[in-house]
Amino acid sequence: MKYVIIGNSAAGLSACERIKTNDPSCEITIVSEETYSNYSRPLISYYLKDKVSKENMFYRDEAFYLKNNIELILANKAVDVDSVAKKVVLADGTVLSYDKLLIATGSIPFVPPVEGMKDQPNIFTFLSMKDSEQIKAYAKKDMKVVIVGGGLIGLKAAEGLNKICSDITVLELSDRLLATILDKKGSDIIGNQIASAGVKYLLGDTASKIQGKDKVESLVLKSGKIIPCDLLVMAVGVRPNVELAQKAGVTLNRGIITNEYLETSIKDIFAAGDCTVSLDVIDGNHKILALWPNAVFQGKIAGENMAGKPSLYNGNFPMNAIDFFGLQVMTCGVVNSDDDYEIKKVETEQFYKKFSIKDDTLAGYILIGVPERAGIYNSLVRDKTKLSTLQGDLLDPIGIMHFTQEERTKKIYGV
Amino acid sequence: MKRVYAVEKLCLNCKLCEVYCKTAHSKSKNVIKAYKYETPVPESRIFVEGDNTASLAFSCRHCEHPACVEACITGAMVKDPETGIVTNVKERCIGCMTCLLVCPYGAIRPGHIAYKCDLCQGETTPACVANCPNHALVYIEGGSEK
Repeated sequence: MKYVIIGNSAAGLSACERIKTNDPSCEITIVSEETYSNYSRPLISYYLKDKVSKENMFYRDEAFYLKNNIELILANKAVDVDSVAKKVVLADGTVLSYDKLLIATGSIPFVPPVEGMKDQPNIFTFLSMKDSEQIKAYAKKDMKVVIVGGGLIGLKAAEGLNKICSDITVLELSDRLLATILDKKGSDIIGNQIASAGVKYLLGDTASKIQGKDKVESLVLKSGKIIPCDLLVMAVGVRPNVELAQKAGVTLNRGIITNEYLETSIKDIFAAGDCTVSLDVIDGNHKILALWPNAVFQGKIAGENMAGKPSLYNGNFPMNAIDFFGLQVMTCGVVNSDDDYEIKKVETEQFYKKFSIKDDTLAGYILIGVPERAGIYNSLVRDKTKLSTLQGDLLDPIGIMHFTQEERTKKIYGV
Repeated sequence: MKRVYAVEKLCLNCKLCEVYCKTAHSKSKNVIKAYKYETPVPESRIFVEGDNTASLAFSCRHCEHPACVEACITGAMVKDPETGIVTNVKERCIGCMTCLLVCPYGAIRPGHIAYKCDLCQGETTPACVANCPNHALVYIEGGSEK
């Protein structure tokens, strides 16, 4: 069987592993528009701050391609799909035929239009290795950096740049940093943490106009304030990269819609990772879950189905583990719906724990400064464990002794 | 594969498994030196939980399909296809703790990097099992894989 995979990252590579396992004589071709072979995208901020070298950015080594019979095509973009003839057309005119196709094209930066924005050389996005390299090459110590967007990408860009530049301001339009994964209290803790590292931030404000002739020189903010800017990072958010999926004609709703086998509306075209719409098992809604573990998980399921081993994707839920300037933040599921959930929380100088509970089950949590055994909380969410069956309180440090003797024996011996 | 299993009714809550795990993962491999003179102080990868009425020592299950390996964002967490041992390659770990976030057993310890049991790679008997005074830890075949 001939497999073509568009995308050389988490979802695409994990699909390859499963394809090879289930169809050892497979022929796999991966197409990536990047000039680099695979690298771990979340590491680009670590590269920026010199914690990881360029040589150590790889996620799977070169032997991976050999071992899995993969032909890797780099710096070439898949531009069209003929789903009847089962062919993919690349930018340079190459035509690849496939038996099964996987679209694992990930996310692209979402850059909202701002008055005065042209193609100034000092405006950057922060999603790829190329972005990180360009920022690193451009940034100088005395530059005034402005980052538009106080979400994960914006704050990670701030952390990476903090090593190089001494004047960094993050603009976040909503009332809190990391708005999608934290509540106000959690956000304030992160705010204090980044402020103590010397990064400034403004809430409820954003760039409304860019000033400067050949390059950005200053920004007029929504509040009317004018701030100087030598290096602008647009980190408002990402959206699914569905350009190719659109050409192929598969059904979309922001992201690519798949069935539970991760097959799209067109037979033999599968999709996995950040470009898809996933089921959030906590609230039952379909949404974009642009998360590394979800991409790997979906890639694995898609790969098995493509290779003829039926495998079901039952959904996932939002979860994040991030360290900001040395402070460990773990969040999962529902974190900011205090009116609809029973809330248990504790905060001290050192940490913040918050649990959202409904119908005796855990729907989400925030752990700041206390990452210990977060995975057990995740398992409570995933398994919809009745909290009343636990021996001990959620707010206590959790462990295997929280489970009944029968349950913990199962956990010890059940692998 | 062979794994470390706790026998709950035999555990005395003495935590010697933790002491010897730290020692086995120290530079000096010497129980005194490892504690007194090494910086950073080596981390234990096995945890005694509970109290003097009921306790047990818990470490990585070396899952057949490890969630930590699948979730690792750098490729540092790997499962050896031959031995089945799940190891965190310390040179490649950046300490993001995504592995810890997805481990349903709570078997990974946070630090500068993620610390977990490596079954004392290559040793016939892991240090925790070898030094448990009451045989509350055993190293035996188990699990569903062939």
